[in-house]
Amino acid sequence: MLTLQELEHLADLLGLSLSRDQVAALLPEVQRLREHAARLRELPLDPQEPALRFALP
Amino acid sequence: MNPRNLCFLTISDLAARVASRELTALELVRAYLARIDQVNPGINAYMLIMAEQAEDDARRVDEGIAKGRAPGPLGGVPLGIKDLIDVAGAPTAAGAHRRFHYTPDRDAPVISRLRRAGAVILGKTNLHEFAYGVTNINPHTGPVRNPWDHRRIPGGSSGGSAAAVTAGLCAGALGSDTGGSIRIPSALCGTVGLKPTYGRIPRTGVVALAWTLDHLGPITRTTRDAALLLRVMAGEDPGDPASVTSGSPPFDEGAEDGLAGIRIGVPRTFFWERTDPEVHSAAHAALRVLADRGATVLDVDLAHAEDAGKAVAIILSVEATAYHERRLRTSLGAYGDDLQVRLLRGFFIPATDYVLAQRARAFITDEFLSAFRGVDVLVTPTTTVPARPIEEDPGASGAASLAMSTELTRLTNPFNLTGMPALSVPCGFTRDGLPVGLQIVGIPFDEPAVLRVGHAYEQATEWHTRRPPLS
Repeated sequence: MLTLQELEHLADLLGLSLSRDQVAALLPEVQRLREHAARLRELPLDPQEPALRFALP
Repeated sequence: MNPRNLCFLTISDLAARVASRELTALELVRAYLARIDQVNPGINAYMLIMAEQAEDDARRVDEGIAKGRAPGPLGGVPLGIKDLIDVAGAPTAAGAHRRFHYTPDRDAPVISRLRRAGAVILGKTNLHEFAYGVTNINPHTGPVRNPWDHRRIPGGSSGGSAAAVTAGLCAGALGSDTGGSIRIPSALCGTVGLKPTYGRIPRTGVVALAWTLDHLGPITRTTRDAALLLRVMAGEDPGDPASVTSGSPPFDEGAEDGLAGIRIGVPRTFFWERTDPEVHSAAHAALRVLADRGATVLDVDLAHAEDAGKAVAIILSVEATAYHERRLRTSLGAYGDDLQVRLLRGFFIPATDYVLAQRARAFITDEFLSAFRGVDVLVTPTTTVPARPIEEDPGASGAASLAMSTELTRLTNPFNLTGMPALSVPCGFTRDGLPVGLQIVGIPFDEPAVLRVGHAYEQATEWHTRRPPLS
């Protein structure tokens, strides 16, 4: 679980000048997206490339 | 004809009346402009009304007809354009702070194609800030109000376009759809909205939200009108590397054939779960109508449908942040509260997670395509709920707006991920008089099947003919 302090540190590393309130507002969203990624890692993706193409009929 | 009734005719009917000189294009434009004057202040659907230019364009259509020239399939038809699509000489505002506005000197290719077909541009319609949200509660332009109940959102982000169509302020409109932004407002406002196959309509000259999820499409009163606008706008453009040379087939081919032989897949899990009882009931009744018209209704399994939204959330967040990065670093305060959260979060997603989401996209798309082996289209509700009150999102606060996005895009964003054509048609009303939408989805480039089912449903019902109680 990401903490407020860790997210503030990450924001600094990225060169973002954010207030503590702004970081606090971001925290649940960043956490949610990380949870999404954790779920997607459970899918059987070994053969998948990160691209797809449809054929015209 | 009563000017009010004129403003609710279909695009094909209007074009035929102008072509036959039963009506001039100028009379038609003036009827719409008068109605906009009367109704728009109450719903805030238009940001910019281009009255003078629209009248000039209408005169040119009339002059051409008088000289014996064919007016084109959209001759004299007045349209509204979502204000993130370039119209030459008019500011593209994207629902954003004025420092981000610009005035293009040329039309986007879709606008050029519409003009060549004879369409008249009435103005630019309101949207959620930078098209990144579903409420259309916009700190820069004010909220768009749902014509069926002014206390409620129209859905978004193409809320101004859908509100304008349902209120009779244009004959049809253009929207964009990255997670449901054409279909959601269409469902909540009672219009027809089509998100075509990814790449079918070029996005050149359009403010991007997320390149690999963005689509353009029509919002209309009937599926036949949607097919007509699609036919005019479809086709490759060198400015959009994702656009395809699909030509302009007659997308309504087979529309009059009914539904005999059509197999409709119903993904019972996920897409029919957690829906408002009235929405569920209306969409379920629509399935019965489709079966009565000759379709075979079959259950299908989309085991990883719920994961589609997770992949969309990651891809959308990263691409939108990448598009806005320079502006975020210099002008963060010019974005609304909810946009700041939506756009800043993308900085904190690792590149590996973005690639993971794109790989998940390929996996989920394969699964969805497999489900089509035994069916021609999928049918689901368009949204889980009807239009929410504006008061649920006071001041466009970040948390409430984000929660509403998650709720309202649940059933639409899987088809942005998979690029499949998806249509929303009106399928009923709640006890409070709010529209409900039915979503019809096809395999890539099979818009004809989607439109055929939508048209057959319209022929059997009257939901799409209802009008909101506006003066």
